[in-house]
Amino acid sequence: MSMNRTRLGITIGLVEDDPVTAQMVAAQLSDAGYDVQVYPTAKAFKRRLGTESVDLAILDWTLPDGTGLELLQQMRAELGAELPVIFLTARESPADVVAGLDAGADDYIVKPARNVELLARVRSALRRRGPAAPEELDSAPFVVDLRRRTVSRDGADIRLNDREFDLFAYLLRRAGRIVSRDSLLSSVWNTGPGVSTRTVDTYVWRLRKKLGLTADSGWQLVAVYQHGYRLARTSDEATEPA
Amino acid sequence: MSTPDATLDAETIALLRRMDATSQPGIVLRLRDTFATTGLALVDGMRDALGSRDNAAFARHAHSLKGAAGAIGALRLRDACAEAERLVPSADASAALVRVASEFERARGALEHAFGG
Repeated sequence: MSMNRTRLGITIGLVEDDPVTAQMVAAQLSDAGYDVQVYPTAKAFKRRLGTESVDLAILDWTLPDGTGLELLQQMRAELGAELPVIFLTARESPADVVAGLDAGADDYIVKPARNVELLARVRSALRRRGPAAPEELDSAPFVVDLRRRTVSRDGADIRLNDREFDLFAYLLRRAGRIVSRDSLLSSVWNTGPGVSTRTVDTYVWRLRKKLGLTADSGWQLVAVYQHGYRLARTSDEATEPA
Repeated sequence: MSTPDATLDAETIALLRRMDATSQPGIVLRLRDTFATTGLALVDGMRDALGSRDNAAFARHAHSLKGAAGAIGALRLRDACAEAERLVPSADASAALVRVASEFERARGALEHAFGG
């Protein structure tokens, strides 16, 4: 289990079948504050994208069930150009680099990547695709101050413990999206799927109660059968199937 | 910095030690064990592929081991794998495999020495 460090609230999907490389790269990214999900196959990653999104994808070229290039082409065709993608591969020929970039990759890193270089390129890809991480999440009537780690509703402070705060901020950043219990355990609790998911359920119950996440507040935190939870505005819930 | 003939990259080892002591406790032992298991399977795979003249499988295993070696900073093993990947199909692939197997054992021993058991 990792020590408590500043988490950036940014999830990176690492598609890598070699367990040594996967562990090493995931450790470096996690050390820098990113939440990392590792997928050993293209199929596993596509399954994830069907239910939850990631903020950046890092793809190996050679995968057991295809190539990273094919995976990228599918992603661009189905999801558009929004998701930043970096190739991390031992293939170093100029033809491969050109093919990867032409297929829509934001960057191409030849293994092994030096730690500082890997992190710089991740920051660069994230910067190109979106604004810097906000210091405050303003989702009326809630305001979440990420620096002071406080939450208010209609201007009134609500006391949350550290875990409750991290959970609410994580869900709010992904408002409208389904978040699995395993993702929450990994990203908020920094633990693997071996830990009981009832822990998540208990904290969700406490958040609902403390924040008053009912129709009156304009936000609801709903369980999605066999998937996890979704925090969404009440109006969104009314128009989308659970 | 590492000398040109260094078995392990000093910068990678220092990074692993630092992460192990701060944000990623246990990472060095997990990586050491994963490398030992995965590497052994890949060397065996290269040996089997050479025996059955499956050049594509030989190159694939060499490529995978090259990636794992690079990730953990096993420089000489990484270079040996790159050479094996280049030499197949040729009579020299057999000699390249001998070097890969030797460098794998050397890297495994160096990791044991660096991180203890």
